Amino acid sequence: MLLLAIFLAPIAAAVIAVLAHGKDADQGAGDAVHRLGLVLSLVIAAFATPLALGHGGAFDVAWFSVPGTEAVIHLKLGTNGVTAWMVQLIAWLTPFAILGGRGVAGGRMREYVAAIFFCEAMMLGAVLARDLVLFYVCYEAMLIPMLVLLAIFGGPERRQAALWFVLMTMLGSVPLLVAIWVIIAKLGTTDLAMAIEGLRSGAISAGTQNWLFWAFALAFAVKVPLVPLHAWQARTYSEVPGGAAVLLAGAMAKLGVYGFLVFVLPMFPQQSAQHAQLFIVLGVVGAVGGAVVALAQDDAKRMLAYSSLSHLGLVVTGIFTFQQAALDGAVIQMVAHGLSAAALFLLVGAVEERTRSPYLDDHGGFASKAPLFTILFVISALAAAGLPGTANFAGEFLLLLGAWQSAPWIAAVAGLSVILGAAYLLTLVQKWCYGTAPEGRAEITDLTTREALSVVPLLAASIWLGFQPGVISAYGGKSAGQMAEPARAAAAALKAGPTPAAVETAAPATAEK
Amino acid sequence: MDSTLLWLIPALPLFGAILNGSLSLAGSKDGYGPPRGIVATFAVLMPAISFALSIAAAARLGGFGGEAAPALRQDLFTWFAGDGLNLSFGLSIDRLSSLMLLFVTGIGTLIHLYSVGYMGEDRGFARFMSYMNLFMTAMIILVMGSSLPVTFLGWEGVGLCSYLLIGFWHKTPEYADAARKAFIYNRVGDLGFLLGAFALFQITGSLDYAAISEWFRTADASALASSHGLITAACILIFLGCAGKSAQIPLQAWLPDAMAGPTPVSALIHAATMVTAGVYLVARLSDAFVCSPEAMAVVFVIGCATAVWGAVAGLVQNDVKKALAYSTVSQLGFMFMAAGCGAFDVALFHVFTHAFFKAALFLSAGAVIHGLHHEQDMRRMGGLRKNLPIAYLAMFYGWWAITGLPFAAGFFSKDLILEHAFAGHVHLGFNIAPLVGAIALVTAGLTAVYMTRVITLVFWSPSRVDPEVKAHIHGTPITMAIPLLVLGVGSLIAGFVWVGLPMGWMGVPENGMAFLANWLSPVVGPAQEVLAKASGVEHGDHNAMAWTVAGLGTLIAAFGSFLGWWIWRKGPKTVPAAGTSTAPTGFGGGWTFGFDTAASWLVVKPIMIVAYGLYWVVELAILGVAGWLVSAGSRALGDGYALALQRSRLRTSLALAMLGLAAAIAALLFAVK
Amino acid sequence: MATETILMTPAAVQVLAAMLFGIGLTTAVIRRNIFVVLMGVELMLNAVNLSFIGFSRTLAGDASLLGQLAPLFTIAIAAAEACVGLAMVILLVRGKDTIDADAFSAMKE
Repeated sequence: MLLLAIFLAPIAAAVIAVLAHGKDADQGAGDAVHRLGLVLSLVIAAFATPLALGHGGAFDVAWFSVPGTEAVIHLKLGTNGVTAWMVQLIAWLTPFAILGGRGVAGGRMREYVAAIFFCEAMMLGAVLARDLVLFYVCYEAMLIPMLVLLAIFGGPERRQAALWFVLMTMLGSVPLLVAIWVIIAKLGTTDLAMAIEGLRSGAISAGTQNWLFWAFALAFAVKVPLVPLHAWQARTYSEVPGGAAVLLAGAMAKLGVYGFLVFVLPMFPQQSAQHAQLFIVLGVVGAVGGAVVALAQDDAKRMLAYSSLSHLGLVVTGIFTFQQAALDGAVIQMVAHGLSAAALFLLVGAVEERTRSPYLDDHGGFASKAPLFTILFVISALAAAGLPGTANFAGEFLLLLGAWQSAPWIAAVAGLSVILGAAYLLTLVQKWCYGTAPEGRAEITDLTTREALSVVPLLAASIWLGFQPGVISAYGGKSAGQMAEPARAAAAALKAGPTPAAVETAAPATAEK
Repeated sequence: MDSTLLWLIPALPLFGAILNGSLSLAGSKDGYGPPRGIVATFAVLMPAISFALSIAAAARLGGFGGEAAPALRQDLFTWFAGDGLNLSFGLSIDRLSSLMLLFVTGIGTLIHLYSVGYMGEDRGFARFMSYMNLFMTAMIILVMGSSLPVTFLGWEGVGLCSYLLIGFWHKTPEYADAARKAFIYNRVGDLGFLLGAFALFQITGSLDYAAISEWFRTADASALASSHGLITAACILIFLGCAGKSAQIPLQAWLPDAMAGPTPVSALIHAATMVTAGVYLVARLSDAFVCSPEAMAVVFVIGCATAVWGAVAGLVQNDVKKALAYSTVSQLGFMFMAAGCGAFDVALFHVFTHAFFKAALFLSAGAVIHGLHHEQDMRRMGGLRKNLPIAYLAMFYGWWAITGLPFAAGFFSKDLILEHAFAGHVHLGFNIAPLVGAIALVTAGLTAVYMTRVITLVFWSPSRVDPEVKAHIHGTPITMAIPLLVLGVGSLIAGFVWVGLPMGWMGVPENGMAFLANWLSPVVGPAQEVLAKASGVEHGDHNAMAWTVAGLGTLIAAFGSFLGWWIWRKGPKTVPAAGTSTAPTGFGGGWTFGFDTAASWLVVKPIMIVAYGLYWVVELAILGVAGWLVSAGSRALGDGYALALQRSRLRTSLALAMLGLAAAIAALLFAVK
Repeated sequence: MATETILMTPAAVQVLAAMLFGIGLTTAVIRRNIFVVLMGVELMLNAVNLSFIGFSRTLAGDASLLGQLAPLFTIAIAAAEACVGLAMVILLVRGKDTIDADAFSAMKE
């Protein structure tokens, strides 16, 4: 029941927000909706917290049956370590998304709050879903509120960004829909656990399984994103407003990683093991390439987009090494990157609200005029760069350790992203915080209490988790390890080479000659 | 003193940092800032208490205040938990870390006191002291860490503080560039550190120092032989980390640029403490290093090369701080040379003495700079003996120590390094140790030359100081004077921790009371024994060659000093005008900035070209074209043909409807088959 | 018993019905005059009637009966449809003052 409540509560909150006041309400009503939304989101987050401690149970109710097959689609919700921490991330980032949106939403607060809540609901549904169709519905539906936010509150090029975002994500998801149909037809079920069983039992031929694997992998690869399907990311991240970016970069991107962990690896261990090298390479290319391209950016939000590409590329690499350390690191990094990316986007958003410009060269000298901003900005940037003591370091350390355990070259090359990360993040910090403001620019004002409050808890959480990553890895890493176990075994079998039976049949053949 | 109090040692400066930081932030709105007295008191008190605790811990290790223990250890909490990696956040003090801790906290406290005088007038004083305290915390965690990740926490922490402090005067963008350069060079080394740690984890199954040392000490020959490649790789990678932190070739170019920070920063971080972390790490992992002669050779050769490079570069500098910076690079090279030929305790001894005399030199330079109202060009100094007597005293003793003239600290440590280099066995095809030792001898001479040049130009040569500036020379306040005196005297007597000169002087039996060597022997002794067994030379065994080397070294030092004084006793050839750049030109400039230029052309520019290339070609052009195709296509389909179908006339609709109906019926008719 | 001449085969009736249907369809689609379009639709309906009747001659039993009943239905319904259609045309024409079918393309935008 708790799971159902967590799933439905944000929808209810969205409805409340929409009904809260009429179309032409004044500023006061907007403030009231804002505060209401904040309180509701904190309540939801508080209720979601027990999941991380292992509570939650399951929820299962039949929804509708598919005509022509024996499959019945359920509204099935369940939790495990990875789901629980994704729920934490989503639920706890939402209040910050709302808090950070005050400046940008202006008069259209109810649309903003409603969209954020609906997005939260769909993301929660996607991670809690244990039924393929329910997952698909939520996975696609979460694009809608993001589009709304982009359309109403986005930057000047939002149309193009929206087009890229929707087209690429949906094109990636269409094969997934087809794959789900095939599973319904062949296995007669949409339940995740039963599908895993059915796939393992061999009811579907190996060739078809291969296609299914690629369909699933494609959909998630677009979301992470993995090179070369990342074209939508930079454009979209640079147009969304700060608060929405918190959810987009902080939570939504992780859903791709989540999909790999919870769907691809358990359902297709053989294919995952066979194609692991490819995904490792793609991840490394994203990690290093993303960091390199970030160096060439003059727009802070684009730089953060490529930074995301870089960090999550490393996470995917780690997952496909199937090492326990890397899986621990992956789950930790999912949360850690969510926190640091959210903080950075909120701070950049604060600058954008004041000056309408996210460009590196347009600002400077924050350290003298805005010391609070500077200190938070430096901490956030260093967290993103993986300074020890932050959760990002714990995640990166474990990911690189796992990568090394799989093959040292992976760690060595992927580790370059660590060096490059420091380079571009410090360039950003330097351009904005050091020196003096450029000619003609007005002096920047320091963060307001609200803005500071929207960032400080994120950084505090990052530091706390940096020293206690076990909180995440004990439960989340363990679950990830369990889900990756078949793939790991398959990879070990592949490495061991052909079975002795095959060798024996070959030997008599040669002996006969 | 027992192990439950260990956490206080890093926690106290951390508290100071947070307190001063909060005060700084709170006072950032008004024009003056938070009250200096409170800030100064806490900033100096916290490291001082840590120092007292360190003394207590060291005494406890030696058997006072409790039974003697090989190490004090406190596991604070579990850091990494899970099936992938299980590690606790542990602090430990053993003999090696107690040595480091003593001079880190001791000299650290003195420099904090000095900073009160030096930076007292600065608007950002509270922020400065906050960063300095944070640095102390990180450095303490670095040396007290019981495992590689905990050390790494301190390792990157000191890198962070170095970044914050180099760029402390944030209004000047060039300082920010220097800070970023330092951080990135350090990061390159950090990657080596991490990869080396992973390799060690793979070999020994643990990241804890005790477990790693235990593995290497008790491993049998076959295990070592089969992992030899991996061990060598691990050690070289770790050394890469040390090269980054301790400014060895090829990652040394950041240290001279780091002089952009205030002088106390240069003294504390870039002379006495942070840069010695690399030597500490090599000593800590000595058991691993001695299992790989190749790695030792690498350390040895790079140490020597860096020592030479730093010495030549120091000779051509005009800025007093830069000269001292290159000197630090060179001295660090000496330390690694000692480590590379297996004399880990000698290397640490030099770390210890170097901390004293280098800090003394830097603080004295700082007093001069402070006194001359921020004049750093040595060509515009001179004749300041009477004006800045305390600074002169400190620099004199520091100079005496670093040149290796008899009985000051550097005399003992440098001579020991030279001896061990000559007597060592490092194979690169043939035993290169004596050859390298000879180069080191020459470099020691060069050290004497350039250091004498510095003190001559600053104090002994006729004054070239602008008369107006000379009239208003700032006296040295007491907060700066006390540390100067203490460090100056320390430079003289610090060498006597190695009491019991191996030559049996003053009635002390040979190898009798080599106090420091004995103190460190539980930690680095086994490693040194391994090497001794391999090469057949007993560590600390001194024969006639040792006498010769010692004598030669002293002679060369004396000759070098004389040369340095003779050439520059009348000052530089030309005195530049105020505000001229201090960058060396000609050969000196080429030598000094060669690595910078190479790094720029071989690394930075190619990366930026690739970055812009990837961005424009891949992101904008290719993907942009692909995107335009998709969007144009969909628009054509949607707005064009499909719309044409929609906006049909009545009869078109009818015709199409009929067609559709016919098709459906036909399908039905023929599908029924 | 009526003798079947070479012209009056069952197939011929169907062919005639098909041709009438084709002419009606073409008229309905091509002509611009609304009334002529309606005439074409009527022609199509009657062609279908003819087809039914033709089959009632060739098929036996109930099918033959169906072939005579169905056209009765069709005639009645065609008459009703013609009334309604003409009424709508009169209303439309009142607004636009033209009987050109192409003028009624308001749904295209």
